[in-house]
Amino acid sequence: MSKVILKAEAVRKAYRSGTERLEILKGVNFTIRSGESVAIIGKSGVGKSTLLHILGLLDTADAGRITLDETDIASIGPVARARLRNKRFGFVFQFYHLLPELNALENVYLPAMIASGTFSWFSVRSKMRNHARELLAHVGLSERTRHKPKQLSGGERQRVAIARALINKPAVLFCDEPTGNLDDKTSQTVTRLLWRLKSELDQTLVMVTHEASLAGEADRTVHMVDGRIMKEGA
Amino acid sequence: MYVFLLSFKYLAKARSALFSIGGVLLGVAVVVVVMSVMNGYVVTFEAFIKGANSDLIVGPPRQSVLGNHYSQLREEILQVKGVTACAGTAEARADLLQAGKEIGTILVKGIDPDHEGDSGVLAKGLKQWRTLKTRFRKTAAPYPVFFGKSALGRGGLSMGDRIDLRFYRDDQDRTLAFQVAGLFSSDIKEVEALTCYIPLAVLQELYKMPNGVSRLQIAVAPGADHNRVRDRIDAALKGRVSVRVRQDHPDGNKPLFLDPGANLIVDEKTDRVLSAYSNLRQTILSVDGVAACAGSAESIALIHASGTQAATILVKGIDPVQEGAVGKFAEYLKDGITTREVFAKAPGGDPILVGAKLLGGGVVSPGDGVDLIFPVGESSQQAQSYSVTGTFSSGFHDLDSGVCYIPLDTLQEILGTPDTVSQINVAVKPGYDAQDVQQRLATALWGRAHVMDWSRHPGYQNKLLAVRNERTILLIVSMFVVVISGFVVMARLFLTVVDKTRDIGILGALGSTRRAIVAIFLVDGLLIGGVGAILGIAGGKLFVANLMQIASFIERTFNITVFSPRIYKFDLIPAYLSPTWTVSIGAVAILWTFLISLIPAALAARKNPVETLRYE
Ligand SMILES: Nc1ncnc2c1ncn2[C@@H]1O[C@H](COP(=O)(O)OP(=O)(O)O)[C@@H](O)[C@H]1O
Ligand SMILES: [Mg+2]
Repeated sequence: MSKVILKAEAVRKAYRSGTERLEILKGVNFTIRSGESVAIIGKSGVGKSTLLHILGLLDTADAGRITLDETDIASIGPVARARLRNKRFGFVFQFYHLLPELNALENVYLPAMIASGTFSWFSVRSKMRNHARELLAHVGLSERTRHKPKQLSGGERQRVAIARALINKPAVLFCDEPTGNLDDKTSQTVTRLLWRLKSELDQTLVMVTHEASLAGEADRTVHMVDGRIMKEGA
Repeated sequence: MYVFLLSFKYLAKARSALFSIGGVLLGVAVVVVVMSVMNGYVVTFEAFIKGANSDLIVGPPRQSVLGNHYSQLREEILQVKGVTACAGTAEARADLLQAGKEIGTILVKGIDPDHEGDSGVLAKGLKQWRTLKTRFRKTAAPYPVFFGKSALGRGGLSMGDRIDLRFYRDDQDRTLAFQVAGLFSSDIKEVEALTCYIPLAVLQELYKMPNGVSRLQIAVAPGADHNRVRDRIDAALKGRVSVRVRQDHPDGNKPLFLDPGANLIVDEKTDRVLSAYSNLRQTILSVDGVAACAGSAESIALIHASGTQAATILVKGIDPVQEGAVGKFAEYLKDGITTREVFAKAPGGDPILVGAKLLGGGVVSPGDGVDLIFPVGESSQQAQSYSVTGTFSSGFHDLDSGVCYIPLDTLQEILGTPDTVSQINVAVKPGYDAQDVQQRLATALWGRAHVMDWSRHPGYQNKLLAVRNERTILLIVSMFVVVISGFVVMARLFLTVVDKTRDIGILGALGSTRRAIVAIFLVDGLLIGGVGAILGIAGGKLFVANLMQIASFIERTFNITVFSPRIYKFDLIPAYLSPTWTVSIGAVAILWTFLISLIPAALAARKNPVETLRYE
């Protein structure tokens, strides 16, 4: 069996809305191994995004333990967490979340810019731009590098977002309902692209979805019910 | 690097950024213009004083002249270490006559062409000074004379014009003994330091003008229209005198000469004295709308109290019965007693009221005896004729309009005072400390002359202090514009931060640290501040460069006086701002916009990325 990258143990998360305490995650155990793809399926509002955000170090758990490469992330400060997000994880969101002021190419290499300091950027700039171009070509957008997000269709935006998520060669790619906002036909294109990239790059992938077609190709599918992972199967 | 990239993108996209930049631009430009004008005044004034007065001035210890040993004094002064050059000048007042008609009085300065430096006011204001000064020697009449550009007002005099000067004999000083009857205080420092009050009758007797005053000051009844009352008085006096509303009077803003409470001022039209004071007063008081009226006479005198240096002060002869009714003068008196009561309290000698800060303060107290030395000048009968040899333009209005230069020996001969000067200007060697040299000179000339550093001259010092204070106040006031423009920048930045909440969330997800997010908005603020400051400096400088044109344009368009050389003392609005000042103003503006940008930037960092990522 391959190496464990990310591990969640007894993770709890609750939100307070007014006086009410809303328990979303009630002790989640979850493991991601290198190279595998996992689909997370569950009803809307069950806490899938919340779990993904905690796993991706965007949010913190109320209780439980997250270990990344055998390190407890509770011992890591905010700057180091930001750095881990940048270097080790890629995110694809339902609503693309591209920066409207940047064109497609700039959006793709933005994480590479964040990764390098102000001055070191100049030494890697051309390399990163080329890499970004390759990635855009890979997702079929070599003709769209100078387009702003507004000038792109939903499917194209999501493909730019995928290219962006891959620029720093992440250890784990998190996708949160990546086709949730797309029509059926576009969904299929994006879905196919994701699986193709997964196998080509041997990319570790965690995908939240409600689409059977997406989940079907995953190595593993887990179900979230009532704040817990119910079933783990091949 | 993405910090800068995004800052630029955010700035370039928002049109509102132009407002912020415009705000900073305006603020900085205002400060630059205001400071240029104020600084220009200070710098030009200092330069003028230095140019006109050299580094040190050797003056007489008590009398108004350094008696007949100028040549010897000169030799002695030149022996003192640190002195490069020195030249004596004498001065005297004279009536100026053109074609036999008296057209005014003027201060005549006798200069020593052999020793007068090539750096003084004349040398600067007169192009052909070097060649002209060799010809500037006593010859037979017509004697040579230099006049300022604006002498005698508009038109002035030109080369070759013939004029006559009729000198006053200043050698008839009269010393009168006074007893300090009380001290007054005033919120006007000049008044407190340079004025004293004596009964009007004393001056009237001294100058042989019984029932004469040099000026009448009138308080208008509350609510009455000043101009109307003026017209009524004018009619009542049948145009015999000149009646002016305070604002229209040339001394209107000089608290040293006008009582703070006076609304209307009556001056004689041609002579210097208004005769028949009591009648005038009665007539004026009978005019509807007049609340009070008091006459006064003025003179310059040397004041001498035991153990002090003599100093020049303005002596006002006041009508003890009427004065309090016109002005706020009564308020100055410390114990709230009336002028009449105070003046009645001097059993030995004539009573005198002196300012609490006279000669720096603490010099005299009530009951002390002081001497006033009055120049009792009388016109000499003989007038000499002069030919205008050159006209100079020092840029300093008082000098250009009220002073002329003739050879020293000519003046000495006319006054019958050979080898006598009123002061000797001393140039200090570069690198030497003026105060050290002053010490040495004072020791060498102990008891025979008084050595002054130009900057210590009370008249100049007060003036400079006042202008410097004004500069500070205006700096603070104009800086408010910069402060406000900083708030505009902050408000805009708040909007940007709110607008970019989602971007902040995305950047967080992509691995931006909070510090970097803060930096994006700080750089934004800094760019606005920087661009605004640079454009503001450029705009301000441009405005200053065209100041005279702008001033005259406003004067023409709105028919108002923006700039009066008479009040301003200079012919042009001097404007100068040192690079250090310019850069400092820009730096303060940038620093302020930066500091105030910290607030919205900090707000950006507090945003929780997760919240924004869940939704579209
Ligand atoms: N800040 C919050 N305050 C209160 N409730 C929240 C907050 N964020 C999310 N929730 C709630 O948590 C639940 C889980 O949300 P989410 O993880 O987005 O579900 P899913 O992705 O499975 O649809 C939802 O009911 C949502 O309303
Ligand atoms: Mg969700």
